[in-house]
Amino acid sequence: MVSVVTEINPIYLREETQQKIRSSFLNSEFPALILKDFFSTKFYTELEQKISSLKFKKEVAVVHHCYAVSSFTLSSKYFSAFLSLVTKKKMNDLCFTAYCLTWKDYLILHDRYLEKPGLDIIIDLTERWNSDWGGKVIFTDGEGTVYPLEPARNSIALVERKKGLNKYIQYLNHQAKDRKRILLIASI
Amino acid sequence: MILNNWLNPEYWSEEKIKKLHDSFLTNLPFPHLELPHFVNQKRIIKLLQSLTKEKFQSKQADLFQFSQTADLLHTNNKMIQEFISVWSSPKLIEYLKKITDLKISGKIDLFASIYQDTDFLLPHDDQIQGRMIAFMLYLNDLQEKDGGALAFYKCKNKNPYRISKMIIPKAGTLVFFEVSPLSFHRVEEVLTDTQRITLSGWFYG
Repeated sequence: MVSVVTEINPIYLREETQQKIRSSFLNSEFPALILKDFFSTKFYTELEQKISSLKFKKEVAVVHHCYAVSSFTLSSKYFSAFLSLVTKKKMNDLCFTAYCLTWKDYLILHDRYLEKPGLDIIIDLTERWNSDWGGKVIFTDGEGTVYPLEPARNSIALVERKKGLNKYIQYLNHQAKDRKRILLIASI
Repeated sequence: MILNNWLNPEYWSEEKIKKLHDSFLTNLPFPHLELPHFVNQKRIIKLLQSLTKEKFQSKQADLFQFSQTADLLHTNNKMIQEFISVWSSPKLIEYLKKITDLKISGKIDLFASIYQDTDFLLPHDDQIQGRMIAFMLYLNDLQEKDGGALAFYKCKNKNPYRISKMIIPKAGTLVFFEVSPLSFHRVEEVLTDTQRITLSGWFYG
């Protein structure tokens, strides 16, 4: 149990909290959950270091995306157990795509790239991000309703992608200067 | 003749039309023209003044961020109504048909747009059923440092992959292009406090 405490913020390990989170995730109208200050400081710092040492490769499909990516496997049985409990889905090691977005980068919706229903796990690793710079992850049902996820370092978002729900990442404008928006996203 | 009050007569000789026709069809990366001083400068100023009375709504989606009016075909504004009557006049439609070889009708859409600092329009092809020619009439000048240029993409296997032409807005310049599966374009982000103001829309078939 010591390992658990070193990875996840202890507040999220209380049974009472977990029940509330689970209920909230399963019953909310927009099936999403944002948990702030999720990882312990030590684990989060280590995670940041691992991600910053990754080799990112720029990927551009003009009509759909422009960003740098890498891949990252998060092996933590406690994190997986936590996610399984909340989502009622069996989780093992999670393969994330690490995204690094800078000025002029984006992810837009396109018929050719629509996602099948599933679950998105999004870990936000961006320090001191101002929403005015763009870079917000936004889910949309295609009928005019949007669900923005406010950027927050060390937060995780769990989003059930129901049929018709897709995400985009706002264009990063010049006010972001040379800052980097770092996200880990696992789409299951 | 009302058209003469609005449009630059230099563009209307048969010889000029023939040249424009050839340029339109051969311009890369897809058929288009950029016609400086197409609309009389005094009319541009009056249009700008008229637009101060129109309501602009902020629009944001994955693809864009800017402010736009509702379809101006329903405006009560006399100056804009006059512009619409010029823009959908049989003479102008005939003129565009000769240049483009495209069978457009007199049906148009017309909006005014303002792009301010950080506003943008990401790559897309404009294809919606019936749209044949997209147009932009610039109402003010921008410089390269302001951003806001119109960028055209070159395609490989029908996929856009790099910008091959940039057009910096100048008041009175008309830009139009054929809407097709290859007409990928974007408006670069505006980088300064300078507004980018345009009248734009489509000619339909």
